[in-house]
Amino acid sequence: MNQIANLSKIDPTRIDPRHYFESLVQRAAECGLLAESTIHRIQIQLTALAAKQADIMLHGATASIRVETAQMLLDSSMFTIGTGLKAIGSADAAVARIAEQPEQVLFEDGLRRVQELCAVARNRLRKCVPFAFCARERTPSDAGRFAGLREMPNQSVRTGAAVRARIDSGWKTAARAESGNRRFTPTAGDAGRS
Amino acid sequence: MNFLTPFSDAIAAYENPNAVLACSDALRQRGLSISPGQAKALCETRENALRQTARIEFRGGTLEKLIDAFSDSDFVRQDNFVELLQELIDLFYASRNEIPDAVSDDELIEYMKRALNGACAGSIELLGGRELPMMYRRLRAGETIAQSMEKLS
Repeated sequence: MNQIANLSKIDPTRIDPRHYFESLVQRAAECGLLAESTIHRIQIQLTALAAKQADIMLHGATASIRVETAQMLLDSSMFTIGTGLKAIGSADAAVARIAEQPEQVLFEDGLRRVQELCAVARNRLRKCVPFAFCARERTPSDAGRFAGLREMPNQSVRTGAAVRARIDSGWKTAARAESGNRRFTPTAGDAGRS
Repeated sequence: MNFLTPFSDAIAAYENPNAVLACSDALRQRGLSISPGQAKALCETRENALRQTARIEFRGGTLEKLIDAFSDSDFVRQDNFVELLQELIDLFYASRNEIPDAVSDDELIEYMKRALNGACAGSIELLGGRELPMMYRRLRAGETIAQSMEKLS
């Protein structure tokens, strides 16, 4: 069966997924898809983006920041833009978007994508560890879900150590349930073990 | 990956000497003046200070704040004004690396001004060698900049 595939000027295997945005721009520049003036415009807009992030972070208290802090802000901005561009799927389409849109728009798109991914991750974690993000009061609809528990913890357990402990506890319980060939149901002991 | 990274060396937003010269009207009322050459020298001092302290300034305006704050000091005269400002610029950016970002530029300038006009009696050496290091220690010990200012004699 013959398949029609789009011929991409950019070899996707040569794009570093960890530094997607920088890598993509570099490859696009090598292939002549982005002009030097566009790259100069991107650099200026990235600096402006980092400046805006610095203002947000420091509440405008100081006009100067350490170079490493500026670098960190720039890296995180580029990561965010790259995350948004990855969702486009095709490298050529991503390059076209880079050429068309200002960095601020790309950043906002990326931020939305990051928030979506975080929400997905949070949902998956919640399925594995029922109380990883318990920050609300118990409601009547929770009665069936948390049957068997003396009380549902109301305090937020968003700190890294607490969440890690709960993940650990959840995995152990799941493994036990699997080895015992029974349905995994959290018990009061499971919740309290963390 | 440094392809798009412009921060390989400390860079500073261009501080226009004309913006410094724009302070001339206010300075004239205080019996001081700045020539175009001196304005350029002050801008260069700022850029060097930023480079030496590995800091980056995205927007200007700090120089004008320093000029405005220190031009009405009793210890400032026309013959030492620019030299004093250059030393204050160096001290300002060096201090920024020692104190938390939560302390604003305005608060730091206010502290420097009160210390210079008070305990230091116009001595830059005392400001840089005693009062500012004392403030760093107080901030590290958990005091606020306002509490440190109150303790200035």
